[in-house]
Amino acid sequence: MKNAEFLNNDDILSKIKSGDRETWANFIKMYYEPIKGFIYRMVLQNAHAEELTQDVFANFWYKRHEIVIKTSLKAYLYRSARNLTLNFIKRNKYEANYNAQLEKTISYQHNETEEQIHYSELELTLKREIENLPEECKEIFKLSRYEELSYKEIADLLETPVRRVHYQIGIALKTLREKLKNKYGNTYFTVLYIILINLMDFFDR
Amino acid sequence: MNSTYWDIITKKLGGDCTEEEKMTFEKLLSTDEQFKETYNDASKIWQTSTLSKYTPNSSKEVTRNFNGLLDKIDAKVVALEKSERPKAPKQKFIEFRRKWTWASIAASIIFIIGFYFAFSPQDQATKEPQIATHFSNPQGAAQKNINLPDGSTAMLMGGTSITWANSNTLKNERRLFLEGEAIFDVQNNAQKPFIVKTMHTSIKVLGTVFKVQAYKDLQLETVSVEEGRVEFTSNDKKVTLSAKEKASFVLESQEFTAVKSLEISDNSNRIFFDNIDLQSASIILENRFGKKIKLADKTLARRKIYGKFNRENLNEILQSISLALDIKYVIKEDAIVLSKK
Repeated sequence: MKNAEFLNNDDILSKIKSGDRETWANFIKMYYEPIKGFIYRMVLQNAHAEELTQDVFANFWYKRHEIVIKTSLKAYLYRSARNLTLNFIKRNKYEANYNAQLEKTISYQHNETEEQIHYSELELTLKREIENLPEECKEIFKLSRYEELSYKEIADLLETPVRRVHYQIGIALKTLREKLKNKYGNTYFTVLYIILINLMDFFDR
Repeated sequence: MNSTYWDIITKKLGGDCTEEEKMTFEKLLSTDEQFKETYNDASKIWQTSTLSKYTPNSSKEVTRNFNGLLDKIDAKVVALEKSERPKAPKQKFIEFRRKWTWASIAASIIFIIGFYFAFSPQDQATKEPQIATHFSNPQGAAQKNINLPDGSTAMLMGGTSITWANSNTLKNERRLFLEGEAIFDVQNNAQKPFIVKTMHTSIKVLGTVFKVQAYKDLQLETVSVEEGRVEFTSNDKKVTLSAKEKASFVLESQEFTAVKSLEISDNSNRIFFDNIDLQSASIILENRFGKKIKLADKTLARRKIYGKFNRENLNEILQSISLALDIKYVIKEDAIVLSKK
């Protein structure tokens, strides 16, 4: 990864195209976990996520001579991961039971202290409200926040204009704010603020 | 709040503002109380939502098992290349259609296809070199002898696949990925060690005869050495095996077992269970005979079994296992079920 960081997207791609195995290995090291996480969040099963992620990279190597990068390698990889996973879901009539899984992942925190229950509830509410956003809006918001893709990269990967991405993120933020405000009033945002400060503290340590 | 406000907040949070928008933003923030409050709320949602994603918990796996992963991806590339292969170059000849009669077109296409297949090995060599070569023997098939590109040979048991990394990508070693069970007779070459990678371990030799057993889902991987010396490693642990020795790597404990001396049955292609659990034994039998084997009772999985089988007959093997463990077996349409009496 050391030298890969100093290479730009075009350099990495042309090295991979010429069959440079070291760059290829570094490329996999760099993106394997993020892509697997992204796929995992769609299928919610580790074994499927693992298998599909390997397919993404195998396809990349196999098709490497035809690859053209519009915005970034990252956007290309995510698009390919998204297509493969959507196909997989369609082919297997696979339905990830998202909400049931959501409750399960959260419930482990419940024997902790009072504040942490409060905290996890707030977090859970935000997660739930994100899941309740309209389909396109939800996908774009998650790509931005969970996968940390830029608006341009999202536009590239969904083959949609950037202003559509801006618009949908705006809608998401507006909707989330209204929902949370109705539920908790202004205190919600104060508590969120405290959580954020505590977390930063935690990461500093 | 009108929608241009949200547009500016969105662009600001995503770092996508133009110079002009930045100025508008600063101005609104200092003059418009409502805008300020909305922006503060939105930025809290923005930051908190990143924390609320869930991630699979095995993030250390990648670096720990990286070569295994790389080999698996290579094996998938080989599978993709294979599925593409039968592409007859038909289209180029369509232009000739008018001049030629149908019969001569048919004859020429057959000739050209024949030509294509006859020369395809050379064709591959002139084309871009492939990163790997794939050998496999399906579940339930008889043992199969193959010649590896370096002159070594291998005998593959049923349910085994090997992916050989071609040497233009690896100059200083011979490397292959194995899933299943195989006996290797390695061509001596001190400059280029011969390395067998499995999902969990790595076996390094210079030139010897040895067997590796590493079926998918098996809870242990075993190497038995007939001649020469072998380095058997996993992560940072290592065992050196000499002639007539064997050891296993146990996945659960991530440890190697003690080195044991080889029994005569070990390195033949015969089935030999050296005190392994029934779960593992049934995985080996499934691969050898291509039949699904189920355990009706979970407590059976951990029962240990020892046995040498001189004949490759599933019925006889099942009979002896049943007798030894005092259990019974039923052959059903889709599977063989082992259960308590």
